[in-house]
Amino acid sequence: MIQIKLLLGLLLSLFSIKNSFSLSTYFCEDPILRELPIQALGRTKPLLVHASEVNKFIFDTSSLQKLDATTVFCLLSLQAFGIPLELKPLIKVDHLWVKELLGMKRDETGINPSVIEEKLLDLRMELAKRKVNDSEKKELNKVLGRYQSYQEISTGVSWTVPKNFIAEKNEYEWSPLISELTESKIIELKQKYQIDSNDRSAPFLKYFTEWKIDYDQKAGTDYRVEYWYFRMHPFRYALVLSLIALLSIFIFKTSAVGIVFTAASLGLQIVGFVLRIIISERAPITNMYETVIFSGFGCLIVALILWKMKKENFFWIAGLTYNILTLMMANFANEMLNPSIGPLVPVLRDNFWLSTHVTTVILSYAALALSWILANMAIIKSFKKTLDKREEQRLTNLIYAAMKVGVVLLSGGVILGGVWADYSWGRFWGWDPKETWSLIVLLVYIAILHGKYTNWINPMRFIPLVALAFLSVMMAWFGVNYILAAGLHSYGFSEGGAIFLLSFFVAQISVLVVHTWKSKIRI
Amino acid sequence: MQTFITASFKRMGRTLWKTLGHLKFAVLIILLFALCLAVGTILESNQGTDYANRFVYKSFPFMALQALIFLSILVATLQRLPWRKSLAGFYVLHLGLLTIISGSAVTYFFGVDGSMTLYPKVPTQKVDLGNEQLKIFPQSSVRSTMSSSITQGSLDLPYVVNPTLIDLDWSQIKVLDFYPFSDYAKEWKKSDSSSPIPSAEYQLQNSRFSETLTLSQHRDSDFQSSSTIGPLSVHFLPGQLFPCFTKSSSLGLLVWNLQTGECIALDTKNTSEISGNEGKKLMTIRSLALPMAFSPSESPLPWVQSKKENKIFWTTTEELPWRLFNKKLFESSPQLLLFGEGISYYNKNNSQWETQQLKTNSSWAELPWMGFKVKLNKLVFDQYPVNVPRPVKPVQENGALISGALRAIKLEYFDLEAGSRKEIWATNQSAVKFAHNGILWEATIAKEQKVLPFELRLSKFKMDNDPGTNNPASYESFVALREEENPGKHHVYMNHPLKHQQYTFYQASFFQTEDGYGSVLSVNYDPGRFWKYLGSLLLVLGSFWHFVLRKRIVWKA
Repeated sequence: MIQIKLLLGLLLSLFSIKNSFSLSTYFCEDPILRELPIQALGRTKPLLVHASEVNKFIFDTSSLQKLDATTVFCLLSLQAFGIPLELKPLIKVDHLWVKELLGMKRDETGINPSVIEEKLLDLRMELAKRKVNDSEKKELNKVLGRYQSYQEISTGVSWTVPKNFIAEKNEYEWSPLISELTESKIIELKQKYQIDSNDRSAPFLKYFTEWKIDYDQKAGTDYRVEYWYFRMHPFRYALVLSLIALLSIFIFKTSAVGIVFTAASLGLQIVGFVLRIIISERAPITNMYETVIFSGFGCLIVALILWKMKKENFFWIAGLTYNILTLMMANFANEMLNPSIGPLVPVLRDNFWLSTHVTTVILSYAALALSWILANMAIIKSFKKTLDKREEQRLTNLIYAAMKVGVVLLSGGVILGGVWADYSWGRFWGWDPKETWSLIVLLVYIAILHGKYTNWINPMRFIPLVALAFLSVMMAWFGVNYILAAGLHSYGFSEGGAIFLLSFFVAQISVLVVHTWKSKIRI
Repeated sequence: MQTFITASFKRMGRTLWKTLGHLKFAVLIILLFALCLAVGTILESNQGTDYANRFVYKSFPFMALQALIFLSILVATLQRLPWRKSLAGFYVLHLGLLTIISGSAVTYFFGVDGSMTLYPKVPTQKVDLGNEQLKIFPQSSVRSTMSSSITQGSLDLPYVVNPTLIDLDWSQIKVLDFYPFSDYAKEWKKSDSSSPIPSAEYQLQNSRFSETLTLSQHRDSDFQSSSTIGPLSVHFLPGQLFPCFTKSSSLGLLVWNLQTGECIALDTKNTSEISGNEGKKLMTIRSLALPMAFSPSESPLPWVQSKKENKIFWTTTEELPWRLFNKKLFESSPQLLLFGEGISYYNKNNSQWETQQLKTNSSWAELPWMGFKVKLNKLVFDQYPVNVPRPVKPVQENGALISGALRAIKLEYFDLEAGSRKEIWATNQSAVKFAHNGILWEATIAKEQKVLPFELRLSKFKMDNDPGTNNPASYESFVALREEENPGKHHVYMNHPLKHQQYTFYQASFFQTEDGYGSVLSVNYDPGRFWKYLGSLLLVLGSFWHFVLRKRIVWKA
């Protein structure tokens, strides 16, 4: 094995294509690599997508030293064949304590993998010493996780090759590149295609081409949809379109321009969802990233319907605003909202219930988000002293309309969840944190609806209360996964979310405190 | 007078009626309910599901609150009768809620919610239900000699969060404290034995690591006389052996007497070689005038001559109190030998056995491995360490309890041999045995079981992973159902339960055994299901009617 490695290394290292940044990139920059089907985390996907995801996880950026994600991944993998690495990758470290532990300076953002390798024993000891799973332990674990992923790449294990097609299962058996790309294979290819021995890159590229053609013939080309989806960035352009739409409402006298851009943005979002449905073969609402985008989409739809019904521009503006907020989160908060598509936990694998229960709940959150945006618009108006009694009355009715839609959808969604639980676990209700919190949300809004008929809640109090009530939605939606993180619904757990949620709470409560104090609401 | 009382009752009734149906009352109890739920989810996250259930979801006050909500909805609906068309949605919605709550109550009181553990190829009829019981039963056959008053059986444990005194007499076994959540804690117990038996506590540490080692040679102790910490092995040996370790021995062998503690370090001078069975080399000790020899490479036991069919040959014996200690066996890896106040180890750096003296709670002894040092905290001869349940607040981390998973109950029985009453803990982890009034008893905390009129047998369990990973993609049980009528084979997997008679079986979990995978099915019988579904339908229709279809009266400030 070692001999094979060395010989292959020699085969490659004799030639070197220096790119414009004077790094040898061998065959790694060839475009065919990007579309190669590989298997990672239980799914078949194009190499470009896998490379971008793992690079981003390990180094915080998918491209390094101006080389694209696939090239970087390829060069790192070639280390397994004994080819020295000219790149200088730095594993991401962002926690101060971990930096100190690794002997890093405060302003350094990454560390050479070899340093971690040297200190691995110490780091493991440090982990073993800490009995409580505190944030320091978690952060250290995260860095070690990144290092492990790096190891998987640099030992050639992360890059998988379709080996044998198993016809009865209609799927491939996969094997790591390091055990498939042998010297005899390269020599065989050289002879087969009569490649001039000076062209050292060619047999490798032939190898990849053969593999791709073979896979496409036997298992189909479905995986390439993900390649196009990945390069297309529908939700990025949808954000731009939504922003233009919102601006044009204020700039242009007629609403025609705004309508065109709103429709274009919605269309692009639909394209994004449809592509994700094709790739994952399930409803596009199975993780935080998807539910956030879907709520933004749903909110805009609900807002447009209400706008048509009530002829109130506020709905349109509020719907677009929330749509923009969710798309911004989806595009810029990827540490919290992971856009990659992975397999589902077994309990959730039921497309019928997934698409009915989750869609209803997320749509209800969308409608409640609309009421939340409208409430905050009213509060901002009161700050600017443009909220007179009539305007307040008008906005209150709009908020109430959105809230009603939300409450009806949420009660339907909660019940559908109960029916699903009964159908697949044999119990209608089990006090699981996610279901309990969705019930709390319902109770909070129902309390407001009941209170509205008493003299406890007048419009003056109604508006800030609706803004406050949305915190319960955020708790049920984000808080259960990011803070409570226990129970059967823990499919969206990741870090960073807790900080976001806390900032959200602090910001909203501060706005409400200032508002209460300024407008002299008696509590 | 009577009219006055009736009048005041009427007045009270009217006030109650008015309050229960009042909107403000509704708002208050809705918010109180939401608050309880929020507390419940936080407790569930930090202390685990069981704690949250005992503290909130299945506690009496919470049940009472739900009953109050039911009453409030009922009264509010009745107050809005007779029928008004404008309130049609309201009636349907609230009737739906009442139906759901009633259905849930039916499920709670008359339903079955349990689990069935299926070992591979072992038929079973038993379903574990939710509530736990203390099960005590006499084990031995001597039962007939005792009066028939002995009843084996089970005692329902109270559904509480805090330690509770049960105080119940059961065939003269006293059932005392019950700890719903506890951990084992170390306690020093007085030794019954007349001879001194050593037990000790050491502190072992280096710059990154610190651990307390509790070691005992007492038979009844829950602590062993050896322990391992990573690559380091620690052995707690009798103190009489220590003097031998201070002497040098060219052969690296010691011989010592279990009874007197006398020990001899062996070298070429005080030993001689003789031949044993088939010319095997054995070693005798000159200073000991005993017909005894040793084989250092084979056994710590002495060899003696015996006669069989007129042939003399050598065998090992446990009857003589002498044992051989081969130091060579402790040289290849880091081994720390502790003798109470003395320690010994093999130092690889200078290829020497070294010894050090320790005084209780005084100095640290440096060890030749990774900067480790050791200290003696405690050395006793009339006590020994045991593990005793201590009540704790449970702690959950990453979805699993890291503390408080032990449920324990204290029993007091009569030990005929000792002639006194003794305490013992029955737990949910393993059954304890004790001799009460001369009879062997067994006690354990376990789930209440229900026996089904048919049996299930797991013929196969299948688990599929996501391709190329260890993440499970599906769990599937293939079960054979056996009963008089309609036996059959069934396939139970996620979202595909098995329905038989009134019961439904769902794939819940799995475990590994020596014979392959076992499976856990949850078993469910829900007589309230119809009402919950009907109520849900009414609720959805009603709220749609009330909030969406109804011509809304514009709300004025």
